Amino acid sequence: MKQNKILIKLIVLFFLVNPVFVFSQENEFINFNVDDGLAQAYVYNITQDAKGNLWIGTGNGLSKYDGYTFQNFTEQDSLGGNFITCALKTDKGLWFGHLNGRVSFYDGISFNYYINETSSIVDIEQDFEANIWIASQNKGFIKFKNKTEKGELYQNSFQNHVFTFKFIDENSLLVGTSEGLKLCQLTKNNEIAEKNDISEIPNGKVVDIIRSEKSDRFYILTENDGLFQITIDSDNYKVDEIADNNDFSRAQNLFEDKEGNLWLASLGNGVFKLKFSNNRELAEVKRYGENNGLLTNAVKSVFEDQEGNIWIGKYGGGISRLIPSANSFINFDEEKYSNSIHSICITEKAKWIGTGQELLKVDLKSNKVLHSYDVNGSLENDKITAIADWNNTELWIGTEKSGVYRLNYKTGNIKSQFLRLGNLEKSINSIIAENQNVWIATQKGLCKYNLETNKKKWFTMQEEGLPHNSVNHIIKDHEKRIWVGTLSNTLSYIQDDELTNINLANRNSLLNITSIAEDKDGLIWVGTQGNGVYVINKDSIMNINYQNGLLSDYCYSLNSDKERMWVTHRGGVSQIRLSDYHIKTLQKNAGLHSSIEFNKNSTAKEKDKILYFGSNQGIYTYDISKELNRAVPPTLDISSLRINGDEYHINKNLVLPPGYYKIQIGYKGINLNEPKLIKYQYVLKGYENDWSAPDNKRSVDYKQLGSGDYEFILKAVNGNGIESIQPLSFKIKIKYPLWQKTWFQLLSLAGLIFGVYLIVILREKNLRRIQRKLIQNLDDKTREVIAKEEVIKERKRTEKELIQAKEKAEESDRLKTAFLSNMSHEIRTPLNAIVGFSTMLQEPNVNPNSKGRYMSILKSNTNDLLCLIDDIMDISSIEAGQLKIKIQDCNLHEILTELYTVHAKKISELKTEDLALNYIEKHTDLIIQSDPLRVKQILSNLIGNAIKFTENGSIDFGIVYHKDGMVKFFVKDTGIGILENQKEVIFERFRKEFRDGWKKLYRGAGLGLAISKSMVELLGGEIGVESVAGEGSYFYFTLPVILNPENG
Amino acid sequence: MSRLKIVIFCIFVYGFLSFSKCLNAQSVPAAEENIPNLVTFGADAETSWGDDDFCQIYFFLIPENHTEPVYFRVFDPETGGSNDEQKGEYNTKVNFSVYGGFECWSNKDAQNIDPVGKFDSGNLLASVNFEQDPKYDNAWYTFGPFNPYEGEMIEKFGGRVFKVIVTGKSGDDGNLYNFFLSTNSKENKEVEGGNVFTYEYTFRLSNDMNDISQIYPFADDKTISVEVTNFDWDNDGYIRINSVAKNGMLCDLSSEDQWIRNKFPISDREKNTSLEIQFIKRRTVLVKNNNVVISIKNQYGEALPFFSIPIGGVPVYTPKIKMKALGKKRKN
Repeated sequence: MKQNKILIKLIVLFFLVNPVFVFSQENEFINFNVDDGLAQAYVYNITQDAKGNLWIGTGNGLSKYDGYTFQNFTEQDSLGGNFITCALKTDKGLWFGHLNGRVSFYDGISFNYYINETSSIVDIEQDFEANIWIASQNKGFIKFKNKTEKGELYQNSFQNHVFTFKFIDENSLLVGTSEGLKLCQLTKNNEIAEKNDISEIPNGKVVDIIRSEKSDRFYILTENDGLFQITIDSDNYKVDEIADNNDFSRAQNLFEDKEGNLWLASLGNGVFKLKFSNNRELAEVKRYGENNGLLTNAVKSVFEDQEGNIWIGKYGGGISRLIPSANSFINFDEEKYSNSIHSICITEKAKWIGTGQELLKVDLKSNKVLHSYDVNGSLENDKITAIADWNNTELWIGTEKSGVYRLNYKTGNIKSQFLRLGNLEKSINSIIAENQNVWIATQKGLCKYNLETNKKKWFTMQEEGLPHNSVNHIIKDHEKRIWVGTLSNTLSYIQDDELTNINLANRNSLLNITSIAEDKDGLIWVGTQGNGVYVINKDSIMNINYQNGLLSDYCYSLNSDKERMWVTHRGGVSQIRLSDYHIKTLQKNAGLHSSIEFNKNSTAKEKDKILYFGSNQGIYTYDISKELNRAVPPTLDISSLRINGDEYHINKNLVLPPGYYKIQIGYKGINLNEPKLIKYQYVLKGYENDWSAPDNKRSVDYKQLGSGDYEFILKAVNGNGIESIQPLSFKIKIKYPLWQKTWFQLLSLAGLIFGVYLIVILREKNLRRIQRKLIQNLDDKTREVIAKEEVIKERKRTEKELIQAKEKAEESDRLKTAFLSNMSHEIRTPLNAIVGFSTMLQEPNVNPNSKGRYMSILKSNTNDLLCLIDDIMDISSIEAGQLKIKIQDCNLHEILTELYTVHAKKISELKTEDLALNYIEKHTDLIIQSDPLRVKQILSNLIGNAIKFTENGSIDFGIVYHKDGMVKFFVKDTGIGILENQKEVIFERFRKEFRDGWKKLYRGAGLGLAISKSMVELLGGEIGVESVAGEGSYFYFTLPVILNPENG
Repeated sequence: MSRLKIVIFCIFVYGFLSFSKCLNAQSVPAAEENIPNLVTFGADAETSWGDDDFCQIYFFLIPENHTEPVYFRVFDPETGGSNDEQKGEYNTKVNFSVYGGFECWSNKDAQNIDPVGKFDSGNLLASVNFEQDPKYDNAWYTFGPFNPYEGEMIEKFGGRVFKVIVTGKSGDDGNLYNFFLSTNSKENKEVEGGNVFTYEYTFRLSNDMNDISQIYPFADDKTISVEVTNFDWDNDGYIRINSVAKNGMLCDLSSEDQWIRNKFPISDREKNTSLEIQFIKRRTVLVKNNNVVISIKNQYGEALPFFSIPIGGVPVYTPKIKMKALGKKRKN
């Protein structure tokens, strides 16, 4: 054990002293301080969030670093305190402890803090159940089950100040105190009870405890008593000392990197990197301090980020990032040697470095200058521009002004080698050595020097057709061709002394080929001054320049490894990946100062592992074997969102009210190492279809973005060509104005339709109402009209009735007059006869002959009067409906015969000889069902009238026909006839024809035809007359054969 | 006449500023106090040797605008060798602890003259035990660097306060030491505008009988009277109180292992000024290695701080002379 301790101390001591022999390597750190935006120069802790942002806790605020800028958070941002004492990253967010006893939680968006204010928070840890435990220095522990819950206080069973702790299992923890390490356990009564005071660790201040990810041990760091490791198996533990106090002055913080190395921060001696062997024994200690560019040795914290960068939190000096060890510089003691390196040649035994002043022989491993050669006695105002080893025997040395020199390794002598007269021939740009030949590129052509024959063959414009005499660079490819780059646009190669020219560009463009290199695939690369790089393929020539991402179009040297072509410029280096020509630039990210100027073709390669590039600031070296595999894709984030110039809170989905907006989206790819090498592509779907070209720009403006749904998608590729895993996207919704919304349009349409429908309905309803009203009005009017019509009708009717009444009255009056006239005449006449003859009969001297005649006249007049009275009675009965019809069998022949007899007698009585009465016998056997009395009365009236109005001629009567159940009778005379206009009148009551000019008075009351007509109609027949005045009349009437009583 | 007043005032201001400037050394005890050392005895020592509680508390005030690291340098922190009071074999362990942050000063117990309660409040920043160690004998030990922001911000002092507690853990020897508030870890470079104060001054008096030592408590605006306490004076001369209104008021003196309290009224003129307590050694018989404990309280029993750089400068007694103009007639 004691031997081990001694061995450890020796190892530590050796490595701590070792820098004395190692060449000074400056600028191993990139420093950030308050001037760069850090909240304070005192950095207490460093952690990293899930997005990749670095969180730096200082004494006056919390800084977030995304690779570009520092964003600071203070109490004004709801942070619990400005002084950040400790930090913890969990799956849900970041926890920060404060000097004022508060604890803050950051969920990725905002801070919340929990007020405790008992004592300064010294450490935050997570237990095996994901509970958060917060240790205060002298007021115990607080357990948070989740971030919303109030903490549960656990008191310490011991009095010492607590500085750090770590859970061993669910119930046990190691607690580092002001007086040593304690093994504690949680008790049921909320106590952190001391189980064991681990006495193997000195009774001093324990500042940090970490659990090794590589082994089952805990590392215990004390402030002044060294570094220990402890393995715990239930109640047994084993403590081993790793390093003691003498090594680390005031240790503060411990961190285990991904490779299992320990990084130790100390306030007095900077940072230590402790490498362990496979069996976890300390194998190497490397110290970084002020000498390595750390600016201060007071370091408070150390942290390794996800990309593998080591960050150093300094106490009063800000933070520093360790430049990856692949990049380094070889510098020489400025007081002795020049650091402007113009040529490099690596041989099996040494590095040969040509500077502006001398030739240096440098140890291959230690880079220590073994010897300095003054080539020509004085290189003042001259430079060693080319060096080439010839068969491990000689070193050929080319100078800028004084030609070529040969250094013999064995003797160490340097002698001048004459080439040709002329100053330009003494200006050497490049030398390559073959087995027998040495090729020397000068300002006045290319010289091939045969070492066996000492013959020189020159290739110039005049001698072999070289494109230009100024030969800048020559190389030999795998096909043993000598490639020649001149100040022209033509690249040449020489094979078997044959010169071949290849035009890189047309004649109008002048190129200055400065450098040539061959890559692993045998492709020739050409570097130019002002035109970038050309790649000569079998059938094509490709140009790569600034626009393609090259750091500059001015190239000074080319060199290649298996994967990349390296191009040096003023201010940095471009790496061009051979597989896809992806370009990565190395500047500050590789520790290169912006003022660095690489010299022409000052480059070399050592065993395909280390590349050397000479510059005005020494030799920049890149050790490929130490290259970190930075396969960490950039994490994308939106850094700002400005809408119409106003800063908006970044939201996953942005919803804006209707309108036109100028939207500026700031974005970033979080990469703490090489953020500026990230190239972005974006597309705003809904606005554009194509992705933008890859660019370093970190913001995009969209002007006049109108209503619509958009999705901003961003992807990025980091400097190493690794693309972001998942594109970042967020949606922007600019609401459509109400009138542009589909639903509104549909609703409006529906509303319009409904409105129209409503209008139609209302109009219809209104029309109906109007119609109803009109109908009602119409009805009213109609009723009114009807009423008026009724009135009018009534009036007309009344008028008509009045007219009729008047006519009737007039008729009545006329009838009365006629009646009175007729009656008075018809009655007075027989009565006068009766009175007169009766008077005469009373006379005493009445002749008896006359008496009989008188008596017959009396009788006749009495009969006439009686007949008149009968007619009046009949017409009265007919009008009163009292005329009775008695239906029985009528023997028409008998009736007609009887009538003939009667009327023949009358005619005879009238003594009218020119008048004949004829009974036209026909259908003599006809017997009908009727009233024989009335039939006889009708026929008698007609025959009587015919006799009355016929003075001579004949009177015929009889039956016309018997058919269809009807019997037609007729009475035809040859009398005076009837005027046409009297044919209807004669059938009316008390009417009889009166004709002017009549000399004879025809007696009669005007009732006979009226009675006959009424009786014919009562017996179911019709009566009519056909007559011509002066020629006679033809009366006829019909009767049914069988009279239905109901018809009578 | 008024022009003369302006000239006098300017000379006074210039003189005060010049004096203040020359008093910017932040050593404790300050050079002007003419006190050789602070002293803390081991816990096993006797109080009669001049340390009443084996614990001293000092506050270091860093101006608010100071952001550079500060260092608390201790001269001869170990116990042994030169500058220490040996009692038999050196066996004393003395702890120096630096506190800052939360309640470092604002805790009432921290401002007490006795180390009781939460006198060690605050955030422990550094703690070192010293025993006999030749490395730090007659040499400086540096605590720090410290971020000034780790101190407790006290608005009324206009700066951040750190606390250094010196505790005699064990042994019986007297540890004599000095402090310096510095901006440099290797040499004493004053913090511009910095100050150091304590509520109980335990120090070693000079062994030169011609020396006069003085300390400067500050009477704030609420002070009406003060009670000056001295412990274990050992009849070593006189203790006088000077101020702008007091010209050498004598205090009663304590003897071996004895506390003596003296009350003095504070006039309005003395408010917000520093008082001066002078320790004038007896010139007849030299009392060697005399350790004294001094504290001063106001009428509320609150301890008043002794500043290494007196606030407002060293008080100069200014007699209050009433002038009356004679023989002048009023012009009508």
